[in-house]
Amino acid sequence: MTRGDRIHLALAAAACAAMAAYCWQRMDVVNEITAFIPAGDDARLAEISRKLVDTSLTRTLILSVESTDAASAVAGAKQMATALRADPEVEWLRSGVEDSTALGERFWNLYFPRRYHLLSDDPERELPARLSDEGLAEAARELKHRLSQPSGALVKRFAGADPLLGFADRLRRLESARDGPLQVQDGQFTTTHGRHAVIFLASRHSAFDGTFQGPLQDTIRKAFDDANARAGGTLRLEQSAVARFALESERIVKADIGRISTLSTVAIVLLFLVLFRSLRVLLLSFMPILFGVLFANTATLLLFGRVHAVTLAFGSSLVGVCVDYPIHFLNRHALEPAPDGPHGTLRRIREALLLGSATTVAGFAGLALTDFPGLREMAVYATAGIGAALFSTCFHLPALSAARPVATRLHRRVADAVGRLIAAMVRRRRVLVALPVGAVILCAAGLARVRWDPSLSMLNRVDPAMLDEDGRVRALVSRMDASRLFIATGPDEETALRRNDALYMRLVAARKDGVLGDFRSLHDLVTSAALQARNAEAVRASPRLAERMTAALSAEGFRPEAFTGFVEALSEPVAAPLRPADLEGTPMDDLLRSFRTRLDGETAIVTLLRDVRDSAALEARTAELEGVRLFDQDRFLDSTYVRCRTRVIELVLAGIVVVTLMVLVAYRRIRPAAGVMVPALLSALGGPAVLALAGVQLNLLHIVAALLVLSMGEDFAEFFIQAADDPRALQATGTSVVLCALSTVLGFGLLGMSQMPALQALGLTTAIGVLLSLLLSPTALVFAGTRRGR
Amino acid sequence: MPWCAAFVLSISTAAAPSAGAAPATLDSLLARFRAMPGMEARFREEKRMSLLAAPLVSEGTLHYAPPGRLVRHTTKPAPSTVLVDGGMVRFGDARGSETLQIEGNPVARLFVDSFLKILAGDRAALEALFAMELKAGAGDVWELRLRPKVDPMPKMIERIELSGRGLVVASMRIVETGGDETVTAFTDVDAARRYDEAESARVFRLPAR
Repeated sequence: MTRGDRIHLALAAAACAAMAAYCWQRMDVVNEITAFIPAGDDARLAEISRKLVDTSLTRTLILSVESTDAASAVAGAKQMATALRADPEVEWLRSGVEDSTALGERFWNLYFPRRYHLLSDDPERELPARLSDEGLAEAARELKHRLSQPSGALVKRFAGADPLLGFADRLRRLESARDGPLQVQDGQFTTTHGRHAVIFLASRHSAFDGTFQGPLQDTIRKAFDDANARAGGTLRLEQSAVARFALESERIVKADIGRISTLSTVAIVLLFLVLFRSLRVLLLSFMPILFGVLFANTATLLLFGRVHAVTLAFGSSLVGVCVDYPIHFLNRHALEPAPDGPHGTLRRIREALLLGSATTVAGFAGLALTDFPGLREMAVYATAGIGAALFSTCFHLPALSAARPVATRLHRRVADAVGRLIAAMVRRRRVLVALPVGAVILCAAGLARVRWDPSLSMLNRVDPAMLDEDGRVRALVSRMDASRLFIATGPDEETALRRNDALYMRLVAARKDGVLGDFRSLHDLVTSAALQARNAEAVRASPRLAERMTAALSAEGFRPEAFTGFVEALSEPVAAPLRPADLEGTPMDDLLRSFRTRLDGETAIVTLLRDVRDSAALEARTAELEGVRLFDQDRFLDSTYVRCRTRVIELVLAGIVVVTLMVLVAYRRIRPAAGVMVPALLSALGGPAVLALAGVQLNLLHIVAALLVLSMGEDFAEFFIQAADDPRALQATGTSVVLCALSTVLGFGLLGMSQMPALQALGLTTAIGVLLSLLLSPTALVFAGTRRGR
Repeated sequence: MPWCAAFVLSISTAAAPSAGAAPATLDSLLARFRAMPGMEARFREEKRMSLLAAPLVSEGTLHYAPPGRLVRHTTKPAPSTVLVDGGMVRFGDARGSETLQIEGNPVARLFVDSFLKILAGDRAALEALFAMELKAGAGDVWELRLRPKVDPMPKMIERIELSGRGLVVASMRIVETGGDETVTAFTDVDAARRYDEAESARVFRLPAR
């Protein structure tokens, strides 16, 4: 080992330690589907979609505590609520109705002085009739009717100053905005039949942040277990929470990756121990993988601040590529060591290694040109990982390898067998020709039957039982649809509120016409200052209003002297309009926050929808409203996904052209270039083709996996071509390719058994493709037109 | 919000177990209510308010099924229904319906609880809400006076007076601090009323629109 080697190794050890420490400290795995939303086109929709990922809607958990009797359910829920309130991750928790005295007082102070600011949603059209003599007579009759109702005692309190019932109507609207179908029993939300007690709570962190959502779920489970133990085991907990789906996905991905990595590692260890019978070779074979994975994670964390779960899954597949580099070196060094030692062996394969890794990097680097953050992350991960693994293979392995290794008997036998097989294939040229011809037929048949997966959501596996549970709990509380909503935006709050006012009117009509079931709008809490001013002005401008109102009340049997408050109010200065900021810090604040946000530097006001029966009709009814748009997240994500998939196919095709050019430049002849590219392309297409023939719908990950296969296939073919004129080198190369393919197939075959469709796609495509590569890569000798091929 | 309170003010009801020995004590009176299988009565209510020159008068029937269901069907001057069931007050008339939460509203809860606790004969619950005074008169006549003691009720309601003879409640008077009052007279009281399942489904609901 030279001094330079020792320095390299010391630096590598230090770098590994530093990267491991950094990854340990900073590792943040996310699985937000928005990583696959473009950052460029439709940036506003993308921003909306990303915002939706972290709103109070997605961070809200609904817990249902069920029992055979209401009292047990209520007691259990109350105990849970007390325990959960103490958890610092719980931002807010509502399990019942607070004492309304304080709420009523604040509401009174805010709204009563502005009762006529909010009298009508369309003052120019409605108020002339409402404030006419006939309208006032009707108002007096209505007041009398309301006094006879259950709410009469409340109405009576302010009727003297508000015979037009502006405040009472606003109160009703606020109640409808706050209340669902739940009732309250002993201070606790329950369903109508009382068997379910309901708790709402929101986490402080994103629903997709497993670091915080996992412990919160543990806290919920413990709180429930304690309550259930006290209830004698009669309680049942159900939840509706986006976080649970995210956690489940994360759990499956982590479990699958853990299982696959372990089994893959065991398989590779066994393979190496059996063939090489050397602990040193075994450890060395893992060194580039470790270096590559650590560097890839570090680079990704540095650039993006987190690692997406799909990238991590993809990263585990990258191990399949990285392990090939040490296999090629160590196998060649064992079977055909160079006289000048390991560095000499490396020189023999360096050209193929460099070309193979360069073409692989070129293929994946193209993904960085997309607008999709998730794909860019994968490109960075792949490029960094492959580069680092190659670096480690070239600079660390030779220094640590034995100068004169001795191949085991089994290793020699395998190499001899592989050598004979290759020789036989070369002799029977028809076989080498028939293989690609067969592959072409297979690819043509399969690709003709390709059906693309239409939805991004199908990349993820949703547990049907959890989905049912979620639906049951949501049905209990009749929540709004979290993925479909209207957004009114404006450069300032007043503009956004004015647009929201206009939207509200359209939605009222749409609800009346049955286009949608219901909606919740900020408009019920506060309208634009302009609309408030128009209302106030219309009331003030109504001629002799006090006199005519009093007359109408008298005619209905009211005592005129009881309404001096109304008469005096008309001559008092007009109150300042109610602003959203006035609601901050009040009990209406949580409601306000669920409606108002910032978007792209503008104020955005969200209107929540439920039971949209005709999305197109709803969109048409609001089409000409400036700054208002219907946002259907599912539709947006699906269309984005299709564009993403199309873009990736384009980039992969472009990558193939670039890689082909690189190979052409490297060989300066068409035939060896074809020898590299044709088997690799057929192998890459073969995986998706076989799956298409099996009736599998293809998705984005099938394409990415095909790119991986293409890279590995190129490497295999390049090594064959590099060794073509030397029987011993060809024998060693053949053995290396078998080892590489076996290790990859063992790993990816297991990935194909994952419960997660994304991982399944990666695993199956790669496993099938690499097997095809193993079969097809010797045909490179035919295409390349080497002496042996000839 | 005292909507539910208003409801109870307006229904101003009482129950009448079958005639028997005069209730000498509050305990014995409440024990009779507790044993009541259900109740049906006709009512005539007068709301006297400072806002109105003449009282608001309504008439109809009242139904109670233990332990906590109560409905008032008003027939005059216009049909409407108020239903108390499972911690909610629901109101319906020709124009539509609305649901009010009792919980979280001490005023409403006090009213609904107090009324239902009387019918349920729950002395402990009543004592938590009211100071109670029972006056037994000659023969079977009695008068029960309730004074709210839980804030903010004393600011709104001065007293509730129930009067009856034997186990038949004849009237209920609610006197508000501002001087308004609601007086309800009960007739045709059937304190042995039982509601089978079909009747319950028919009676304890809002009318279909």
